[in-house]
Amino acid sequence: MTEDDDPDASIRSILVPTDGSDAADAALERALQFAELEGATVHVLSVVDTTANPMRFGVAEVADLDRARTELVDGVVDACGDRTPRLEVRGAVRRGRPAETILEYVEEQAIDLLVVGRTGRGGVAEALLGSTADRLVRQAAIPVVVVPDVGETDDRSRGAE
Amino acid sequence: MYETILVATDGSDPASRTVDYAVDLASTFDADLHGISVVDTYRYGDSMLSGDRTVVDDLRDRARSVLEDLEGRAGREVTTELRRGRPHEEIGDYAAAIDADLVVLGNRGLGAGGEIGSSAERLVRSVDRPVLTA
Repeated sequence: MTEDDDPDASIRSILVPTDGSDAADAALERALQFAELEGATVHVLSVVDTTANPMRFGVAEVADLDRARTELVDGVVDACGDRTPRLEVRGAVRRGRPAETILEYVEEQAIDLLVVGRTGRGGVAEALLGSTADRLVRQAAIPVVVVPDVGETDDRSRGAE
Repeated sequence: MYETILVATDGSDPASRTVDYAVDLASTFDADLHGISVVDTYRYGDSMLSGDRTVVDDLRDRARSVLEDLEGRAGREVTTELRRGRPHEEIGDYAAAIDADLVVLGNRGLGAGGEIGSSAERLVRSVDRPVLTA
């Protein structure tokens, strides 16, 4: 709450956690729009949730997940780069509990804005992604944009191409 | 993109920071700015409110001055809306009425107390629009 941080000037880096879902893609789209206007760096982070079912995870499975996540993040970063070459987009893969890991990354990289997807109401997926979004809203010290996974915003931006 | 931005404010410190944020976003995106303040009749209870009209009046006056403050700080045209009811419902309803592209609100408002930002959380869950909490 200090006077010296002008909120507008302070959006230099934006973090978008991704799990490859449509909700995460919708969030990424929003983040890119912000970044293009603000000239901010976009960080794309994927978290390998090693806490989801610890009894089932061996070293090999985690390595597989790591690899899959890395491919996912690389793909997203490439796609962003093709779209807006002047944007700086960085990818990262971390292991841990999603919300905690995301908040650690925010701290570590001095992120200014967090943009997260939220899956629609109902369904099993909501219990996972929905609760992560909830926790981020509650615990993040920086502004958080929660982007719902609804068709029409996507259609609008795609239709404009 | 963001053509219409709605900011919900209750006059608390975090909400006031949120207002600054929303004003900046509105000028960045050259968007129409709307402000809403909701007299939380649910929180204070119907019996209390119906028994003592001055409580509602006080809350309404407070909300009105919060919106006036917003108009003063916006430095641009801002449409304001004063409502009573459950904040997340009224904010969601108004956001739908103006087809807001982004709803901006403080996540630790006056109603927070023990349950932090309960309105913010309910809104994030119930509104199918991007919500920025700051």
